Amino acid sequence: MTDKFTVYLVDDDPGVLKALSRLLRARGYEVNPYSSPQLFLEEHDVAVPGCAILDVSMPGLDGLQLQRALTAAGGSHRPVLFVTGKGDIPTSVRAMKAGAIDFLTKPVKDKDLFAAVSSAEALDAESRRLHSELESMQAKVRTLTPREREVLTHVVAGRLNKQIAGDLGTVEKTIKVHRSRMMEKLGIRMVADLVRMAEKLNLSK
Amino acid sequence: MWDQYRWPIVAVAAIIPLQSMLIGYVFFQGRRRREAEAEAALQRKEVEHLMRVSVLGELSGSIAHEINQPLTAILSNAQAALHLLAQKSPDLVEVRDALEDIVHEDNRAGEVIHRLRDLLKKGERKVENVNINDLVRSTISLLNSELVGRDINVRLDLGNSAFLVRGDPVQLQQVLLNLVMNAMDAMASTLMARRFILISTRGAHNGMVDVLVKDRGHGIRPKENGHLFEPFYTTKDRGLGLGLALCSTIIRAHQGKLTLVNDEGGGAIAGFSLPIQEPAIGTA
Repeated sequence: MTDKFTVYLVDDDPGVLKALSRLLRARGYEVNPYSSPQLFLEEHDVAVPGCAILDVSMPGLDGLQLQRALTAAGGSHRPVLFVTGKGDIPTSVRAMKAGAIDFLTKPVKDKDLFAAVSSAEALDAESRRLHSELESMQAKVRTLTPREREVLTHVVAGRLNKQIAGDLGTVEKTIKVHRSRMMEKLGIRMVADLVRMAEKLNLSK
Repeated sequence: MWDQYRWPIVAVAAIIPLQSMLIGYVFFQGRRRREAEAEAALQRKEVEHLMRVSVLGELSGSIAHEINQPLTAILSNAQAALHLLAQKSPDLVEVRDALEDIVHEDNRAGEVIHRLRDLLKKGERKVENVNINDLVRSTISLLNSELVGRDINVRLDLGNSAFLVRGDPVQLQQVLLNLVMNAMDAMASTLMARRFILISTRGAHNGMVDVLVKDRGHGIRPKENGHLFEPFYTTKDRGLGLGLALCSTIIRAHQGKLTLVNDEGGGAIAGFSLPIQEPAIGTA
């Protein structure tokens, strides 16, 4: 597994596949070319940063179906670009609605391709950053004791220490200790940040 | 003398012009018949040409795609080569590969155009050796993106030997195009996963090669049976009703036979058999 941004290229035409791979490699991208959608689905690794460039008209599984299959296989945050020889409006509308970030018509100009790929790169990095942020927060939350977790829910709900102590049948001092330990474990100082985090992780139940 | 031979002389004098008139009439008739035949042949050629043009019109999207693909590859290869050359120490092997691919892709686009030009040309009937398997392959490559667009799977099951027949390659390609397009049209309401065309070539024992196009469409409906080869009989919304009639004429002119039957498993099998020019060796 590499951490290098990888372009997954899927086109059933070997000549086009080779040429687009060459162009992207000349620009310095890592390219994984696939001549069949099935092969791509088998080998595709969600963990590798990158984007997918799919040909719209392919035998068996066309680009739009492939995009759906990719989403179903857990690759929903993978940025997808389409290339097509036809470029008709209904297809492009469907593709964009399904979350494609761009729709390029063949023959593809290098500038357009590079621009699309570099915006895909930015998008992928951003979604990966958010994802890892979320994961590290989740890991921190997992270190809380059940009691601290309880306190967290109450704090996020806007309860005062005194009220929380009443709810949990203990004294305010104990709550204060739990609360400061909880904040420390999560690395958060302000209640506002705590609320924001809880919202992102969907903890405020 | 006149008195003695008057009647024979009169008779001969009358017969000679009569006979020459008769000869003249026969000549004239012959010429008119030949003219009429030539005109009919010309018209048939015109119709054939018109049909080819209309088929190609229907396929224009597919053909544009077949040319656009190599153009895409050429552009990307050329731009890749330019990017490579702009680098500090260019990978010349890669640049060379790119250039070779450009040549290859250019030939590919050229071939499509060449085939098109043949089909669009209004030429005299040519008679040459035609490799039936090659003809099938080149026909399918013309139809390729249309087939993909309609989600139709194609399998070729071509006999091992190169079947050579004597005939006009353009006319024979026209027949194949027509049969395959009929198969495609017949499957418009077939479930996507079932859409399938099998094209096979087989050498038969009687020195003929059979070319079969099998589909999974609606097949021949009972009321259509027996009418499909009639001129101007059509089952399609926008059909002229000339396709099969013309195909049948072309195949007959090649000493062959065009057939269209229902497949037992659903769908139709269209096919024709043509005499093999050279006895093929190792025919299955």
